[in-house]
Amino acid sequence: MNNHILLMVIFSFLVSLVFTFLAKHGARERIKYFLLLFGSFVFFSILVAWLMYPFPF
Amino acid sequence: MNMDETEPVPEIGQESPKDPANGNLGETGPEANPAVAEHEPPSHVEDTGKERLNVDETGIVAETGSEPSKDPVDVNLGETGPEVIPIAADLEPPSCVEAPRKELHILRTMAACMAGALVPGLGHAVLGKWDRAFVFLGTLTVMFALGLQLHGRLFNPDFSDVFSALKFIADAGIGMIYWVSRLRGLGVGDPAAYTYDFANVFIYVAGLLNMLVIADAFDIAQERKP
Repeated sequence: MNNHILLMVIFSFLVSLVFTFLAKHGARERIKYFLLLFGSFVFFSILVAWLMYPFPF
Repeated sequence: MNMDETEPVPEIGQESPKDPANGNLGETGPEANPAVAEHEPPSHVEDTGKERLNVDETGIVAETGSEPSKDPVDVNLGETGPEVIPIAADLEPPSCVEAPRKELHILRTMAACMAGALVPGLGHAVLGKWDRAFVFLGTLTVMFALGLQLHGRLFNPDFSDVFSALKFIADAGIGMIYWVSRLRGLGVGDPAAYTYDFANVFIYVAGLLNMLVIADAFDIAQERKP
C-alpha cells in the first residue's frame, strides 16, 4: 500500500468518523458533520500539497 | 346639661383635626390608634366620604390610594405587600441526599475513564453508549493496526529526550493494545520503508484520539454531555 492519496483518504475517513461521534448526536447531524469534515480534510490536504509542490524538499 | 355649650359631635366620616387625642369616638377600634392620627391627610384634602382607611387582619391601618409610605407602620399588606421571594426554590437539597449521588458520580467517572484508558471505547460501553463504544473501538483499533502493518514503530518509554517521551505518550494513549503489541514483538519499525512516516502518524493519532475519547467519557459520566 504505497498510494499516498489512498492513505490520506483512509486517514481522513477514520479521523472524521471519530470526531463526528465525539461532537454530534443524532444521525442526520452526524452525517452532515461527517461529510463536511471528511470533505474538508481531503480538499485542504490536496490544496496544501499543491501549494507545497514547488518546494525543493 | 346645656346642649348648646357642649362641643358638636363629629359626624361619622368626618375628621376631628383639633384634638387628635380624642380620636373619632363614634367609630370603631382601629381608628383610635395613635398611628392613624399621625397619618391623617392634611386639612386641604377634601374628604369625599368614600372609604378612606384600609384595615387588614393585623389591625394595621393604611390609606387607600395614597402614595406608598416609607414608614414601616403604614404598609398595606393586604393588597400590594412586599414581594414574596421564593427562598425555598433556591435552596439546595440537603447534603444527606447529595452525598450518595456524588459518590455514584465519582465511581462512575473513575470506572469509565479507567476502562477507556485500557481499551478504546470501553468507557463509553460502561456508560451504556454502545454506538459510540463500537465506533471508537473499531476506528482506533483499525488505525493502530494499519500503523503497525505499514511498518510503523512503537516507541519505548524513554524520558531522556522530550520528543521520545512525547512519542511514547502518544503511542501508549491507545491503552492495552500498545502493551500487548509490544509484548508480542510488534512495532519494531522499518525507517527505510516507504510508509514509515505515514505509519507512525497513524499510531500517534490513534493514541491521541483515544485520549479525547477518554475525556468525552469523563464528560458523559459527569452529565455534562448527553
